[in-house]
Amino acid sequence: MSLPETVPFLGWAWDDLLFLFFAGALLGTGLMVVIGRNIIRSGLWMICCFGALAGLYVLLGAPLIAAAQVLIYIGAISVLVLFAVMLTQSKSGPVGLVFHHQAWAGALAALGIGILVAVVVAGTAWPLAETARTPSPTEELALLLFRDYVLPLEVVSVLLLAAVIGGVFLAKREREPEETIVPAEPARERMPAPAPAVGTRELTP
Amino acid sequence: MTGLWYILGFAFAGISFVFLTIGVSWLLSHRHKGDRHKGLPYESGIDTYGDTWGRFGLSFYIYALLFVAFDIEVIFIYLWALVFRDVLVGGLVSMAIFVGILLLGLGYAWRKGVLTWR
Amino acid sequence: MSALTRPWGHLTLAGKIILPLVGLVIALTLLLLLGVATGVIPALVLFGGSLVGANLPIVRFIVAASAILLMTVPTAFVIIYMEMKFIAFINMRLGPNRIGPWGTLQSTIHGFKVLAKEDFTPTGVDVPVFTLAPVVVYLSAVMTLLVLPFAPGLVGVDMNIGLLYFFGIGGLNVVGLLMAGWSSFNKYSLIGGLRAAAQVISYELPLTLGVVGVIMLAGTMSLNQIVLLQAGSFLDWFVFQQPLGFLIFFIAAVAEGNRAPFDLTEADSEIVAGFATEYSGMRFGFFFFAEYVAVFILSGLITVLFFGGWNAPLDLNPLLNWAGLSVNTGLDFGRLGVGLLFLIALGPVVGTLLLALPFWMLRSDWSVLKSLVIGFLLFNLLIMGAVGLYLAISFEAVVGLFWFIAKTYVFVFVFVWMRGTLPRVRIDQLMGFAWKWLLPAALLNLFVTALAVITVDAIR
Repeated sequence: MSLPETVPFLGWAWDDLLFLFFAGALLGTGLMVVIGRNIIRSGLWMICCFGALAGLYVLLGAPLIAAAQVLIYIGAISVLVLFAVMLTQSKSGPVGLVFHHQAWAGALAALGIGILVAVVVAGTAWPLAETARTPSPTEELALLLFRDYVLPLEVVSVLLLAAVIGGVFLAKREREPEETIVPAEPARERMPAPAPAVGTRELTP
Repeated sequence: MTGLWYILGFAFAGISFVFLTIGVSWLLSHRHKGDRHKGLPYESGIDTYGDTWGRFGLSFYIYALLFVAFDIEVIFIYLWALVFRDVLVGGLVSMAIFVGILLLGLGYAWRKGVLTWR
Repeated sequence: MSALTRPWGHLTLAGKIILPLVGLVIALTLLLLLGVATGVIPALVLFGGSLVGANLPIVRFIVAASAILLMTVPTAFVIIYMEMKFIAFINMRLGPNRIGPWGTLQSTIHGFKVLAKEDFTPTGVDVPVFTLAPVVVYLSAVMTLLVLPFAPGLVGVDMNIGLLYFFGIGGLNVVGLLMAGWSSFNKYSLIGGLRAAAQVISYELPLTLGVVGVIMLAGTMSLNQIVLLQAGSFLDWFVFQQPLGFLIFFIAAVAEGNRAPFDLTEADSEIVAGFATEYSGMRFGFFFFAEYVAVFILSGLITVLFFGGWNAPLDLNPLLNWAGLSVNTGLDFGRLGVGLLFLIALGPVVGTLLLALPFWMLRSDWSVLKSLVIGFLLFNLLIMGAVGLYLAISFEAVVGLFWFIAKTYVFVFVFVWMRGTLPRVRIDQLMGFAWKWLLPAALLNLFVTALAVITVDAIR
């Protein structure tokens, strides 16, 4: 007695279950990103969202894109976002996100977009492929990239260069005054400010 | 897509393993609420002061930014290495240009001194 | 209720562990007897057999996944013991020597001790994130074991983008570190987490770029294929074609595993215990569990990529064949018939007695019991050796596994050795080294390899 070819009672392929799982996770985590009040948790939900998207890529027969998604989006870009949030937030800063103040306007806009999308989706004839796509070999993709699309590749590097230079420039400009204060001191962690006379301040969870 | 099933199954097995162990630990260990001081964050013995979730220096951020740029580069380099025997000299030249342009960014960061930790 | 709880409270820890186990064993035995008597168990076995036969891939995967997960526990214990003992020798101390012969059970006891410690949640932490952080760190380490080829045929999933999967999943531990550092509501934790994340992402670039030479030579990203390409003698290992790549990869791996001399994340003289400051009990345990598993995995990856994986250093088969020592492994125990029964029944007894005899005769101060125990242990050792030899001759995977584990533990030893020998680097040296030395060196290695490949192809 082996597993049936399709899901019992429903007649779906087993991979459809995976699709449902990932699509549900994508929508759910995406929703959690925007409705949460804690911005770091929103960032963590965003990572889950990226992970679900990677799963969808694998289902679409593009494991390479999925790997790139995990490596770059989760491993690098999310970390960058988390860093940025952790480094800039503070208790005194704005805790509530923008759309918490404009909930009604946001809801109206979302409703409008939702209706628009629904109309477009319903009105489009979706051409289905006759046969399932076989996963395109990674090598084929790489050859395409380095034979036919060399110029776009170089443009990508220019784009990355611009990002790096911009980031460095911004970071540098903000630190310039400090450097004049601490000229040639060897790098070490600056001492914290001296404690108040008695550490009586209540812990605020 | 059996590979995906395997990955998910293994992740599930791993998560259950971790939570089973934590559950066993929860059953075996003793727990005391303790007084107010037990729950305080450890700051070398003195009571905590100031804001924990505050602002920090920018040096962490710039490493993450550089990392994003070079991580994208890594994906392309992997693809290039995979088919290198088919593209040889032409591939070498295009990759040299690609890496060279990115190295300009690294050189700029180096020159500006953001690679030096402070 | 108190009549029940009070004796329980008086029990020692060992008692608390053993008593439920004894109860469980008795209950299981009773159930087994009952099941056999009513004929339920034989029917279940027959049914289960057909079920297993029909779903072989799924059963195989479940067995493999459980084996991999359970394998991490003794691996961590062995590495922790190695660390305690070898660093003790390096420091000219004795090291653990109380529990078990030469203190070998010390790390196991440590492990179970952590299991019984209070798992405290401090005030002000973000509880779900705080609890999930060790899970993420542990999973990011263990999930990579799925693509690591242990032996011929012993690989979880042989993906053709195995290396990318490995680095992608392995890179997730940054997220776990940030989660731990942020959710702890502690300044040391936050700085430790940010530092750890900055370190891990900085060293991930040399780690991933150091491998490119190997991909270029192998023309594949499947770890299994990379191992297969290194078959032959030890001269075929990629380390001889990629010495610089290996060096970069090794240094980056040490930093990636947060090991000395790059263990800035848990620099206890600077930031207490880094991101793990507020953790206690099993949640703390999983961070360190993950660290030791990561040491094993990184050593395994070094072995796979640069040192031939499960290939033996020298292929001895031609030599054996030349000497006429081909072994026929077609052993058929069924032919023995009733003799098999006698062998099973009498073998251990006779073997034990025979092995105990010399001790009893030669050591006059030993009692009969002591010599019998020694004889029994020796007999078991011999049988285990014989079975191991039989398995090694019959199954390629056993020899492969032996070589893989042996090579991996050589690198684990180097990791431990470095921890015992090298002082911790400073944070600015750490980051500067990654960006100013390792990254350019990795890129240099890339282009030198490319030029070498072109030249060699042109000459051919």
